[in-house]
Amino acid sequence: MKRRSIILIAIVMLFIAGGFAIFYISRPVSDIRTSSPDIEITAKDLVSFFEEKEQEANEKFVNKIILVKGKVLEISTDSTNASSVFLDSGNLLSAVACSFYPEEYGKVIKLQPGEEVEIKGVCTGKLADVILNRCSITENSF
Amino acid sequence: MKKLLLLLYFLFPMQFLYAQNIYYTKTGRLFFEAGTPLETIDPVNKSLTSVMDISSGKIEFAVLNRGFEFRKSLMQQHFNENYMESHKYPKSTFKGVIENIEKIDFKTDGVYAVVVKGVMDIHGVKKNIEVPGSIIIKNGVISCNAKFSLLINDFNIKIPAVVRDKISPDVKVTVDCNYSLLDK
Repeated sequence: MKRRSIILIAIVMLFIAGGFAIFYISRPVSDIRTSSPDIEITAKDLVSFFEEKEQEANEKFVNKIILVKGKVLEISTDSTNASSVFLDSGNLLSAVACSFYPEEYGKVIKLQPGEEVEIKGVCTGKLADVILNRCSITENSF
Repeated sequence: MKKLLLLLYFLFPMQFLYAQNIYYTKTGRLFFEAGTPLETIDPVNKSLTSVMDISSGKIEFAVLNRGFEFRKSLMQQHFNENYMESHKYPKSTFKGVIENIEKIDFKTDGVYAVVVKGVMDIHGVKKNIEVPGSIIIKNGVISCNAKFSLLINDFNIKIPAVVRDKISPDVKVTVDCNYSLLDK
């Protein structure tokens, strides 16, 4: 009797462990919209950091959730509901490029150039601009 | 000033710098499919940067490898840490030429089939490729579209045996860009 219940418990635990493993393997990417930012910074400071100390900036910012504040320079949208905003960094050659979740489209198209905004997203590095993706406009902006 | 310098960053060296012939985008779309019936692998990058000179046909593309958005967390992690090694190779680029660019009338709406030839630089490996594509002009807006295949093996990307039946050795890439004129 005792032996059988031990085996039963072991089997159940195996199933539970298996369930966790499957969940872990197939878990979706975190929803950045509901995640807390790792770093809060202005568009100006973010770009300056990358311009002056690129290696250190990569270690500090890439793959982190950034809450960036800045003035809208340009808004870009396309027919697939993809939208991007470029934030003024004060640097003529390099802005902060923010690529949004499709659901943010409605909020993004209401933005005006020159408007101050707060955007949360994941830093993916720097090409010409410092690029953030999986972006959303944070509640404080409105 | 800003945009002109951006141009120089990408197209160097260039012989003629006629700004009215240079088009760019920073919000192009690049997605690829590398899945099998066992697994869906379809990441998208919405920050494809491209510069095109419509007089010479020179065209360049660049993406940040970490900018590929996957659906599953572990897949994105493996892609960056193990396959692409994004810490070593943060970007993938293409530099080439649209052949017979003079055959395209950029002032007339239409869909023009083109061949693009150049060097694909991925994971530290440079490979010459020649792919078909389209230049689309609609309501005066210039777009490009291309669909082509790349072999994972060509770029020194190592897939462990454990997942080999989940990843296609032949990756189908799609590029979609809407261009704007680069003004001074």
